[in-house]
Amino acid sequence: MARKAVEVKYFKNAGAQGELRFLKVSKTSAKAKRFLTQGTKVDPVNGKLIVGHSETGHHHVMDRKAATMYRLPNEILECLLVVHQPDKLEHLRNYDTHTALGFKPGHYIVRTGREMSFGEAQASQD
Amino acid sequence: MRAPLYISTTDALSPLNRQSFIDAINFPAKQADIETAKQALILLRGHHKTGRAANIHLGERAFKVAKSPTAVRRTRPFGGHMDADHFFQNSCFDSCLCDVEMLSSDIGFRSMVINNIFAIDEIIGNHVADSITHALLLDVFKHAGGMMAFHGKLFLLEKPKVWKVDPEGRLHSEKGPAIVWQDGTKVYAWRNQIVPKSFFNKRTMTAKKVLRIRNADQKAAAMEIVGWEKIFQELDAEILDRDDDPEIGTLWAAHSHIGDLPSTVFLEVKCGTGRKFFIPVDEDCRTAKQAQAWIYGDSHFIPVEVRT
Repeated sequence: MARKAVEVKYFKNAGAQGELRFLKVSKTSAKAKRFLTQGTKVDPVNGKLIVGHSETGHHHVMDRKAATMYRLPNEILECLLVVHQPDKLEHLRNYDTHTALGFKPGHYIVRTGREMSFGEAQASQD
Repeated sequence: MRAPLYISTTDALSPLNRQSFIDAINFPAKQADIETAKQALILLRGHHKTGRAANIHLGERAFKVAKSPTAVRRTRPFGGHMDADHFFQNSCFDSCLCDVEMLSSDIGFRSMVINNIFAIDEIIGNHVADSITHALLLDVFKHAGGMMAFHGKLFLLEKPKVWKVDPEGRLHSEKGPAIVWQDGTKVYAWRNQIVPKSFFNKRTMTAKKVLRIRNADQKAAAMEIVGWEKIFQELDAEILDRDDDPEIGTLWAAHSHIGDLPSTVFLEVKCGTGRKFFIPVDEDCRTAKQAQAWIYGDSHFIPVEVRT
């Protein structure tokens, strides 16, 4: 049985998948430079880069060879995604699945949506 | 012989399980898993036949089988050295069957497996039994409710007493449990979301309770179960702003004094999957676009070209 073809939607500058929003930035922008110089690389898990973590296992993932992600120590909601080769962000769920989002090589600021929780803002959880 | 045999034995199962059976057996590149399955089925049959703890021999290897499926489940929920997290973390990414891969990333299926798996470990081997017969396999499948092949091991689920799905094949029940296992354990589900029984209690499930749920998917399910209308009524909510784009959303303000809410301003927004979410946002937001900007920590609204 052949694997089903995955539908992919592409964006140029700004795209979103679920609670994740992606903005394309220049690698020389102040924000990108901060992540590249002060951030740490996120380790892939079983060949996949978890771009968006889900507490129920419905992660948003890319191929580990296609991209590198950088995080700053005290920054929960934002990270930098460096895409080296064209790839797609897939949502690991077989129902209510977010369509795959296509990425071209470049630098992207990844922002996780937040919501109010009794006086303070917290990252959205799924 | 293989394909018609297995398809015919799974007719009584749910569409979800039936498909996984068929895919598992017919997947051409995984002959090893089919052989594993045959051995596992022999093991299971022996287990059902005696109903007692036993040592079963497959070729030169011996396997211990616990007293009953319940005992297996409670004492050793997973086989070998793998714990639940390890098993599912791996199966999400690297399952040997593509549809089973999808199933294993499904919280409904996952919860079902965690609670009801028959662990059959150490069954990888070179001893393909010659004595498998059509009748034997038919008999064994009658006792199974699902299977998952993974890295040369086969995990079989018991057949549930009750299994309810919606027309799209999603685990779903508006009244009562969606699954009842043989030992009476009940699982409640709403469109594949496993939810607590309390979500269906109309008396205790208030707007306040729903809006305090932290997990977005659980909250969305609770909103549907309780009903958006009822929630809005309880909140005495009015619309502050409605954007033309439902993915940007409608901003609501709650005027009720039920107290202890995460916020009094909420953004009702349609997500890329078509579901609706009700997100508590900063109380200074006055438009849906302002709320969107706040959600992403922006000083102004940034439109996105594609939202999935």
